[in-house]
Amino acid sequence: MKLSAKSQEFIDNLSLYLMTSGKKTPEIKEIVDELTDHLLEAEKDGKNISEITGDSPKSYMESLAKEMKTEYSEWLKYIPLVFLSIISYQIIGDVLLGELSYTLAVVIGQPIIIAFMLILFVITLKLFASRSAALSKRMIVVVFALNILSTASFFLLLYLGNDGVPVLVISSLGGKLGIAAVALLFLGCFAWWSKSWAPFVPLIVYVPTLAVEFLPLTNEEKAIYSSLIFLLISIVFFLIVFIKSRKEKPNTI
Amino acid sequence: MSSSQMLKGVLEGCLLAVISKGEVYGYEMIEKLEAYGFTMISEGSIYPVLLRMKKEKLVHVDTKVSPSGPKRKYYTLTEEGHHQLKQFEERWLLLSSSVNELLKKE
Repeated sequence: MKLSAKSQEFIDNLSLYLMTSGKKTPEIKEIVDELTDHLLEAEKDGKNISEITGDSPKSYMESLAKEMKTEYSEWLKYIPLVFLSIISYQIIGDVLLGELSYTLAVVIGQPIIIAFMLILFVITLKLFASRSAALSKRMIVVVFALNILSTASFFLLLYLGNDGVPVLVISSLGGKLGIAAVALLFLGCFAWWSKSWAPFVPLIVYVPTLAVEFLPLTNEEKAIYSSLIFLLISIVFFLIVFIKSRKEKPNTI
Repeated sequence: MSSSQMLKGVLEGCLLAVISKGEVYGYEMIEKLEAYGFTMISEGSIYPVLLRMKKEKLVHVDTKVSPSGPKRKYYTLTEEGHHQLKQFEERWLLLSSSVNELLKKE
């Protein structure tokens, strides 16, 4: 037995909404299972989803959330992890490809921007989970503008921030290896704890650059070849995702 | 005032009464309420109330595998739930008889 697309969409949005509202995972699963069961029976009796949620799915979600305990620590514990992961990726990248030298602007600015981006990401998710009619066009524009702004400032700092005098430089091989080891160890712990390889996946972006680094090529050639390899990896990745989703489609209708 | 708004305040009492008649799960409660003529509530509105009742330990929840397959949450009243139901009955009798009386005289 499967839910109708509309009911499934409501259930998915509800889990996302409760998750971003800081509810506990087992409690979310409990109420989601209970409502799925209810919707299945209701649809068997020919009822419509609006008879279950009332006029506004958003206020219905809110009324459920209000009765559940909020524990942001449940969610917040991921933020420092993701935060440290991003810093780790950068350190590993710098050890592999560049120099470990940072200006004051980067040392202070970067963590602030990353933290801001992460918080914005949570807010965006929450907004879109409750979405529908309640989400005004202006709010969407504001959220998108903030997202673009934070991403832009991230890259701007990446490229311009290093023009000043470095305040933090690690140039010895031992120091470089040591700090890379710390970063890798952290990612390893994160992977072990989350029981997935996901924390290592972003490191793939360094593979193309590293692959051409030791070839006897000029810098321009290296840049061209590494972007070509990167493009190729992205295309293969999207093809895999695309084919997978095509395969799954017939089952969901 | 719509009847669903009126019902909001007494829904908890009605659910206590339904559950007191024996172990029951969410969709069954709706069917029973509908059989008594409660067709004005949106079905989902019982779940926030059930969550609150569980938090206040008025109901006991048992998760069991249903005959049709999925796991289901079955509700029964606790001691405190029975106590609350009794209080609700008294308050409702008083309130409804006063309202009836008032409306009759007008």
